[in-house]
Amino acid sequence: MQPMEYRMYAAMDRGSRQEQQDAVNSSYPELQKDLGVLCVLSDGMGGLSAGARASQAVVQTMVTTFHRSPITDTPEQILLRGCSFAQQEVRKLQQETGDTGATVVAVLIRDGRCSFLSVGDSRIYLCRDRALIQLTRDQNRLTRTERQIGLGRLPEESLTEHGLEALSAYIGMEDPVQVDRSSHSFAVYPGDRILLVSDGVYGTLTEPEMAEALMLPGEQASITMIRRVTSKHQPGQDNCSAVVLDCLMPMN
Amino acid sequence: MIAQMPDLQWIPQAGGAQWRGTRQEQNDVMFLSDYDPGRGLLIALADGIGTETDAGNAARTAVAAIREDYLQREPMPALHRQTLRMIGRAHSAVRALNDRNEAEGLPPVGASAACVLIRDRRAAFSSAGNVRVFLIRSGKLLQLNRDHLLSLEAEERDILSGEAPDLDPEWAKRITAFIGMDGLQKIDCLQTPVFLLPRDRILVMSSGLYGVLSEEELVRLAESGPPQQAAEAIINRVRSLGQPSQSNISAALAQFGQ
Repeated sequence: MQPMEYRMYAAMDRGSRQEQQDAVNSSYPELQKDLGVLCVLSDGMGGLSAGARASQAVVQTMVTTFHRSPITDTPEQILLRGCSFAQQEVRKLQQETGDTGATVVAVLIRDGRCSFLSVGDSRIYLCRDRALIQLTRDQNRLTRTERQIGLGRLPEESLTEHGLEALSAYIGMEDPVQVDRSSHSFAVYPGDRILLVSDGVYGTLTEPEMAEALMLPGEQASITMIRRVTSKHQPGQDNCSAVVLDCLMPMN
Repeated sequence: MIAQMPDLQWIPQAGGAQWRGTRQEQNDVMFLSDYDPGRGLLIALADGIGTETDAGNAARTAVAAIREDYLQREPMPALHRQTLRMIGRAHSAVRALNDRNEAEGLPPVGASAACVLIRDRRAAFSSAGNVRVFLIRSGKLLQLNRDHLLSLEAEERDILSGEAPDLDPEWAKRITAFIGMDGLQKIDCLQTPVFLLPRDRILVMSSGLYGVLSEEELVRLAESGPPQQAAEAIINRVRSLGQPSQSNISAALAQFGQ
């Protein structure tokens, strides 16, 4: 069977922030047939330019790791190793800039199977038959609080506390990074679309609104998604980024 | 007054089947509810851990607690939070069982468990351990939940922290989270319940089915008929393989719409 072709489209907007601290990157398209494809999105945190530098360092390190990994490495090893190197890079950056960090979501498709990894609260969705399925878990206080309530260790009123959106894991944190990742790779098919977004997108658009934008072909999907975010004119709109990875019919 | 007929394309139905395999006891326990417009449809599956007899007790206790939550407690508007509550109640019930066991000098027990709640065109789930929850859409399989396996965590520790544990292959199959364990933290749950399409299927299966059938065959059988018939087809296919050592197997299926 011929390998599928993958195409990536990205769109970003600064929102009402002074600076764009989201970053996206992908592997070289010409390597697709042999190595597969990697897409990465990162959302930086920190004052001045530190957040932007952190997110750039994360996406660049992830892509470089992918390009330099031996073909014998599994996609899961490549993603974890990229994450480990990104952590080292951001920790180095902290010595220069002070407190900074970044989220990361990364998707690696090889031989028709998709593996993914996430640290923080950016998200990956699979759009299959025009309906979205969230693949990642948000690593924030809300997620932890909901589990503790379920286990009867916290009262339900804990959900009204402030600051539940605070991250419980990010690249650059002092403790060892906790990753959320696919337990096993899954098969992708022509017509599947993988969506990577920062919280500036899903915090403003509903899931049906994101799914509606994904009905549009190619780059129109990511551009429309970001336009819809900005058209809402939300006060304090965060940086927003959307990456669409299309799985297409096999290449000739 | 004209009675409004329910729209059949949005009503889920479920079916399930089990087999003891070559084991002495069946330590998988399953509960499938009927569809109720207010409560939704529930699938609960637990796979007991421990000595053969006691493991079944843990799985029965866990599933009974989930069932009781479904039938007797107020449904929560946030579907995923209700599944978290169900797993939490199952955990409390197995902890209470372990307290009684300890008083009688019996060893502690536990269970891998997953519950799936389908209501208002959405499916939410929570799980601990290695019972797997899949979505089958248009003949394509997607695992929705995470496995809590030592092998996965060891790989992370190896690469992220440089600790390289030397894992015995049997140890690698061990689970790192289960109902009844001390200090349970890792419950897998998706905050955004899955929006279902007509004819989507949710498959919940115990670890005994892993690797026995290929993904293609599993999907083909899971879509081979109504949920009950399809679940039986999966189990019968494994039985027909005549594996010399086959652990307990369970398959529960829900189909969304007709």
